[in-house]
Amino acid sequence: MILERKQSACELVAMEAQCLDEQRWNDWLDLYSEDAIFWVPAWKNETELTDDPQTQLSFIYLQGRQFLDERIRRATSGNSVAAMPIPRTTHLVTGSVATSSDDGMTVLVKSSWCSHIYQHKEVSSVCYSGRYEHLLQLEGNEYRIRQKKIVIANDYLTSKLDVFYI
Amino acid sequence: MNGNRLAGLIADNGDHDFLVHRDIYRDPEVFEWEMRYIFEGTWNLIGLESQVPNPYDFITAHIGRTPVIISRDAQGKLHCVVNSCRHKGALVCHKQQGSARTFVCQYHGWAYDNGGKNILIKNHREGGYAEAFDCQNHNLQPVARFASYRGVMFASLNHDVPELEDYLGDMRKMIDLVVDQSPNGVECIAGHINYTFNGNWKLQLENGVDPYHFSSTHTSYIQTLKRRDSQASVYSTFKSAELERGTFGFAHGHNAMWGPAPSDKATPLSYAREELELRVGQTKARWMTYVRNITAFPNAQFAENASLQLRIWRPLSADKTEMKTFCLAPVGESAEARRLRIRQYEEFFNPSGLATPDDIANYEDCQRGFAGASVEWQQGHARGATCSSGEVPEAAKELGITPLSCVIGAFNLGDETVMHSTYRYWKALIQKGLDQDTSKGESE
Repeated sequence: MILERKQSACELVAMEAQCLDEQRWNDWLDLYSEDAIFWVPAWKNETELTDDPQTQLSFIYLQGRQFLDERIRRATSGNSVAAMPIPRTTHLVTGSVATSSDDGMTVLVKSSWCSHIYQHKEVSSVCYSGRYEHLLQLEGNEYRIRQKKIVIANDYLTSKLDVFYI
Repeated sequence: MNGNRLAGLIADNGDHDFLVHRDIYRDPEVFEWEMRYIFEGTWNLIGLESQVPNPYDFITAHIGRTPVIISRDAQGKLHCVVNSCRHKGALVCHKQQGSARTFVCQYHGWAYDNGGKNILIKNHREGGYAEAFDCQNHNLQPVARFASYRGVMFASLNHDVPELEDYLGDMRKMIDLVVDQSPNGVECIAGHINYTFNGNWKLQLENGVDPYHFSSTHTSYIQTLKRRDSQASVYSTFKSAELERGTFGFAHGHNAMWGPAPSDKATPLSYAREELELRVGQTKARWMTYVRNITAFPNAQFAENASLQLRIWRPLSADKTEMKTFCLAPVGESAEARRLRIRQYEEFFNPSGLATPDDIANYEDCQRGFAGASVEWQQGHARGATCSSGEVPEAAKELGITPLSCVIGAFNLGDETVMHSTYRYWKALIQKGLDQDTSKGESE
């Protein structure tokens, strides 16, 4: 039972990457619970991450699925030159290890990731990499993402970044 | 020869007929002049004293191409020295920030105290050094000039610059509007946001004081805010035509763009409005709540709207620029205001936010458009040419300043002449550097 849950949790994490790369935006948003937190902390220095988004700076800190929806609307609106044309992404997610709570209501999945973002006008790709922590919560029979924390190793950014790049 | 070339890059027949040649954004020779005569030739903003609050604290930075360490010694005195061992040149400090009593070169073990004084030449006695060596100064080389204005640190690699207070001139009053936001000044909120863009640094310089781009570049940002019902923001009631905007051009390349905020409900500073009015007076408090972008020429801007940013740039080549960005906050502001400040900062100013990525994409599109030499002249410095205030306007008087140029009008005026005085100074600095190098060459 627990093993099954862990497997389905890891599958969800892989599925998320697929949704992003296939630009199935609604399917991607459906993976998140309504009050989900999407957090990309900034680094304090070479070795320490920021750990409190209320008093320290993050690259992105969104509280609520509606703010992810906003990002997708903006990127696909045709009104944001940063997404004109929208880049293609390839997310590689690997080494996912799940830890389940005893009752199986929540599962934490830790993974490594890298993402190649192909930018049409640059005619080249940018690569970001780091670690994911997906906190999944059971909603009915399915897990939804309650919190996604994305740690970026190469935080000296190449021009820009959006939620679907990483 | 070079002087003639320079003369052909800024066609200045007064504010009504002022043209900038595209080579200033794309030509490696111009870039070389800029590095030597501007970034390595005058004062650069290098950070805030509050970044090194305690003895032994340090940060590292660059002035032009030169790596420097800014440190506070045991007695609390600030130093700015070149981050390069006097022996063979290796960096002696390897981190962006930290605290250290000594800097030890990992190559041959020479050591320096926190102020840059040499405290060890490894195996000195056994080294068979001649007297000439012992007569040399082995300390880390201090920069030529280093001074602060109200906690904002500036340094110059060139001795031949005006005193900092004179260099800043009226810009001091604009900096006051930042540092006076709390009785204890401003601080950088923890968290590094650094990036590069593939474009010339002057695209950022110009965009920072360009009110004209907002409604077209940031359409998606404005639309996003309008769709929100709960989270009001400074731009959520954006009615462009109704807003007044002004620009000031100052001596030494500095400039400013300002105007009343569309709404003062949602700015973090509005939480402290009463305290501000009591402490700094009605006029300054009102100016603090304005949307204000100010340029400390040549390498930094403070930008205040939904939050407050300090951005410091470093040109890497004619078509590549590094940005170091800081979220600034009044020391001791309420937790609620701080939270709002951080969220609005991330949303507007981050390269991972809803506004800055579109600015960056435009800089990069401009740089792509500059490729080749088919088009010579920009048409981007002409708006507002007939709108200059003949005399010092009330807005400047109430701040106690006398800018070189003032343009005040409706938001849609979108003044561009604010760059004229900046480019005149840009040209003057390069001209001076070229002339000095020419006379040096002749005397040698």
